[in-house]
Amino acid sequence: MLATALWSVLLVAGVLLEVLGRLRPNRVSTLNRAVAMIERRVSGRVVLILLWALVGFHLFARYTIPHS
Amino acid sequence: MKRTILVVGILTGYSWATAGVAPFTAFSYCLVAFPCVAFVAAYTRMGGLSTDDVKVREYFQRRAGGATLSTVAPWMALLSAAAALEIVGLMLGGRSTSVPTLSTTVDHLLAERWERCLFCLAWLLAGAFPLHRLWQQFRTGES
Repeated sequence: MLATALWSVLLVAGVLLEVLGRLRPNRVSTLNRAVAMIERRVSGRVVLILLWALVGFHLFARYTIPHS
Repeated sequence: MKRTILVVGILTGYSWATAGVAPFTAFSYCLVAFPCVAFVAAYTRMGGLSTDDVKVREYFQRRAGGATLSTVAPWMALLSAAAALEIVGLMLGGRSTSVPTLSTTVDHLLAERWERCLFCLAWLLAGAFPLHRLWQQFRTGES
């Protein structure tokens, strides 16, 4: 339960960072800019593609429906 | 506009089909593998993985704008916190109800077919968006 709340806190923190990034772009990057920074290198682009594929396999080919 | 509606329609149909297939089957793996291969092939063809194409390099430099390590640091901190929480969840067995991993938490959101369809559509769009952006960039560049 605690960890579920922590995941929610992280999600809200992400939203707040995005808002902050739009309000003060010189202090904090938006998620789009942060991802673009990773994409500057080919290795970064490859990592992002692998991460995207991993998420797909994990969520849609290897999911388990909870019983409770 | 018409093309966008058509693409979103096709992706929605594909998501609905993927969401209806039982997990851990060869067919479910194929349904996920197909867009992965298709997107990577299209991305490579457009030069997205090119190391010596100056236009591509400039495009990605431009997109990053003024992002520096210090402005990206809060995102890195958030990612580290998520990774730490995931590791704790995994160390506690992965399926703990008190400290669930991200995937165990997300599994609760994937119980119904329409929920899986929405997530799958979001995943496909996340893959298609960089392709669309790259395609648009070079279409504009050519004209």
